[in-house]
Amino acid sequence: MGLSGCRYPVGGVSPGDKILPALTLGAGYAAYLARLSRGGMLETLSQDYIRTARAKGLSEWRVVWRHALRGALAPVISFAGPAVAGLLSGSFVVETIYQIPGLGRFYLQAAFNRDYTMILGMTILFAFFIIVCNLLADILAIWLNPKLRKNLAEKAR
Amino acid sequence: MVVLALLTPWIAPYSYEEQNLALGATPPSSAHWMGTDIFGRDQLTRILYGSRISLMVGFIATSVALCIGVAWGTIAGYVGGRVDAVMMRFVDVLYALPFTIFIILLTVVFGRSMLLLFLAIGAVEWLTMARIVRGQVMAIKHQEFIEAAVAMGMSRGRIMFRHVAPNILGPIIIYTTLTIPSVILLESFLSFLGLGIQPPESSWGSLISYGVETMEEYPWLLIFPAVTLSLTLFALNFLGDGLRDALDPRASRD
Amino acid sequence: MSQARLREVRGKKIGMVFQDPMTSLNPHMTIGEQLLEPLLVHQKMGRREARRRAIEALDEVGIRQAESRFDSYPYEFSGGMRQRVMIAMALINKPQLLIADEPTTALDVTIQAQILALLKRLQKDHNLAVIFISHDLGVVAHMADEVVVMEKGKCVEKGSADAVFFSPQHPYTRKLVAALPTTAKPYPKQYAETDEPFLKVNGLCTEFSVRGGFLRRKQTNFRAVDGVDLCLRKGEILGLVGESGSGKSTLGRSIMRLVERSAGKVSLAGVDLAHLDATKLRRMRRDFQMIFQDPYASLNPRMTVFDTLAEPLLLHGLASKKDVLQAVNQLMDDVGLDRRMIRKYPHEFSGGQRQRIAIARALAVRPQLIIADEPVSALDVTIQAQILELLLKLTEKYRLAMLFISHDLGVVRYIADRVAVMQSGKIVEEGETEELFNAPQHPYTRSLLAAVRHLEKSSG
Repeated sequence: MGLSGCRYPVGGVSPGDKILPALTLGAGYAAYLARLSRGGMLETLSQDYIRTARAKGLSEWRVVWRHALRGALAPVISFAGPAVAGLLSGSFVVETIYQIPGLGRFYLQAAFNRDYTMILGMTILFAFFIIVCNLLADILAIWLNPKLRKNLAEKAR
Repeated sequence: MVVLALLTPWIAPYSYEEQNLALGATPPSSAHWMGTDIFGRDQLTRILYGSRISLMVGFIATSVALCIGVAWGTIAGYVGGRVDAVMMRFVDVLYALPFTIFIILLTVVFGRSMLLLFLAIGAVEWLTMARIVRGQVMAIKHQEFIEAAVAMGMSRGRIMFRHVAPNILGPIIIYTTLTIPSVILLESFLSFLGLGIQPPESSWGSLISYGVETMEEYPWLLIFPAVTLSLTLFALNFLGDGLRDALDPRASRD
Repeated sequence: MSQARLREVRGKKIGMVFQDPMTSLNPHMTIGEQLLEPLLVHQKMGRREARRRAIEALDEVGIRQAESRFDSYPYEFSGGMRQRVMIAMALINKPQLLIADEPTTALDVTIQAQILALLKRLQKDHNLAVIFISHDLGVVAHMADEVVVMEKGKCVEKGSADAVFFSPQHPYTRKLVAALPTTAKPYPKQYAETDEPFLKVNGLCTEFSVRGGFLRRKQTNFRAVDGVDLCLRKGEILGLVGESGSGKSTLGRSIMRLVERSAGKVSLAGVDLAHLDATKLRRMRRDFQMIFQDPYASLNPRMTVFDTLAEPLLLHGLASKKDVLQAVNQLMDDVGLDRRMIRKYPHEFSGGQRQRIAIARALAVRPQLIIADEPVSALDVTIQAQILELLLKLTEKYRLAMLFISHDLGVVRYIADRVAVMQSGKIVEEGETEELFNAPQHPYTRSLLAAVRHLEKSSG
């Protein structure tokens, strides 16, 4: 890791100082997402239509990327909503460890100081973030499913 | 690990409150295997006592999650229809909330206490349990052997108890063993943030938190609790995975 | 052979059609995209040219308005249509060999006939070599010139279709051919015409509400069973035939009150089932039992055979704790299972044995009516014959009234005294089995019977 050996400046704000906290926060989720994708891929690769694709004489690369990937991503997408929520809460800990003056730390301080106005405002802000992210995940899920996509298109007409 | 935690009051070499200011922080030695903190408290003792709290949180909060989750999931799954839709939508809404915000809000409103901690963690963990149980019940409910039991003239209660319950027990047990480590981790998170266990009591989370503050001077105060926590989590996760493999009907049948 | 060479052969020389058309097309890609793939990959064809060819291919397998259906997804097609798409895809690069693995097994009998006719026509037009894999002897006899019989991974007999089916040499082939239920019922009738009907069904209707459209806001009522009249005497087996979706299973479940009906009357020995309250109904249930299709799902996997069979006995007070073992053993004898197996769990049994357990469970409460919903459809042909034999024997022994639901006309002809034909929730024809099979009146019955392939000598 390129950063080893150097001290983390207190309240670091430059982009470079974000790498380690981001890695800490992201690594766990990356591992979990990898497991989900693996499961999804294994599941999809055992489907009949993959056998069909192989019988057509397609290359393995094409089978995996064109035929299997879309099916394999479904569980990953449905995890995306909760994952965002998890990342936000994870940021409390990471911000504390790396002493980053972020929303998480403000929130925590507000909670300790019983600063109700602050808590209220930040809760609404967090809720907004989460709702937006969940919405995006849902939209992505619909876009990946041809049946839902077509239903939606017909409604729009 | 559980045995160690239960026996702590008898095997711990020192009292967890006992301070030896004169001793100060010392690295691991033959008298204090894991060293002492700046107040001269024996680290091994504190970790052992910490394990009592951590495991207690683990078990109690998991039981809370188990009770709510199983009841909620079973009702939603068995009744079905509109009740199911409303109940599961409620779970979805809660699922999208980050748990830390939820718990911070609870502590803000009700103040800090151990009981609240148990309830709060349980209240977060039951969501997944409810989903799993509901999924299982739904799958079992539509099997023909349940229809056969109805056709046989059995009562609803008997069907739930004799035919549905035994078939969902496996996944519930497995998920319970997997919940315990995640609860312990959660408690450590909270204690780390200062929202959980208050001094002079110690849990692994608060020990780690304390260790972080002083890690540059006294690294052993961070390393030992962190290693203990990691080992415990690993062990419980492996137990859960092992149980899942052992109880998976697909693996053991045919 | 190298991977690249293998892919080349797969794409250009051999086409393959699989069993289940519902799962063998990629649900995430339009059928057009999937059809184009072999052309783009193996022929290095331009997109426009390929598209033209693909639409031609769809036309050839009988998909109307191929142009406009080109960008549809598989879910917009029925099973038969999807199988046509699969065939078009397998043949699009003009291979010399087509391997068809049970291509019609998952389809209804009339659709099956269409697909078989299509395969035969294409085989002639393209001068194809076809390997046709099937468990259905009738279909094979109709399709094949040469037949290979396999048992446990080994080829046991080989020869022309006529030779294999009409003078089989190997004992296994003989067993297969003999197990085929093509004959009329071997037992005499167990009832007199003048007997009072035991089960009477009048104007039975069952509706399901179907939610459709965006966010499931639209609600329409779908009538699965639409004004059915039936009667059944003790000792009589009534066959109920129809294609999937015709409502025959729903009819069975409505009579059982596993599904609530919306109108009509069901009476059993004069007692109207519709108006019984929950407790009375539970007590009454011992008189009518059901045997389900899937022997893997119809037994509780966590209960031993003994528990499964003892439960209804104890529940209805037909045996005390003391003599329940005796009663269970008796049941095991009845269905031809070894008494020593009662401590085993369902997963330790084969499909046929499980179906015997399910039959024993239904018989445990000594019912007078049994509704058998496709009880042999999930079983191999030789096992099928054994179970049918068992059902016939038990009907005779206990003078049961049996409603035998099946899509398989051969099986129904073998077991039923009378047959009712069901189409879209209605009974369109009903009559004595042999009369109905020899002189069907309703056009739907005729089309069903015409689609069945019997073992008959090929004309050419």
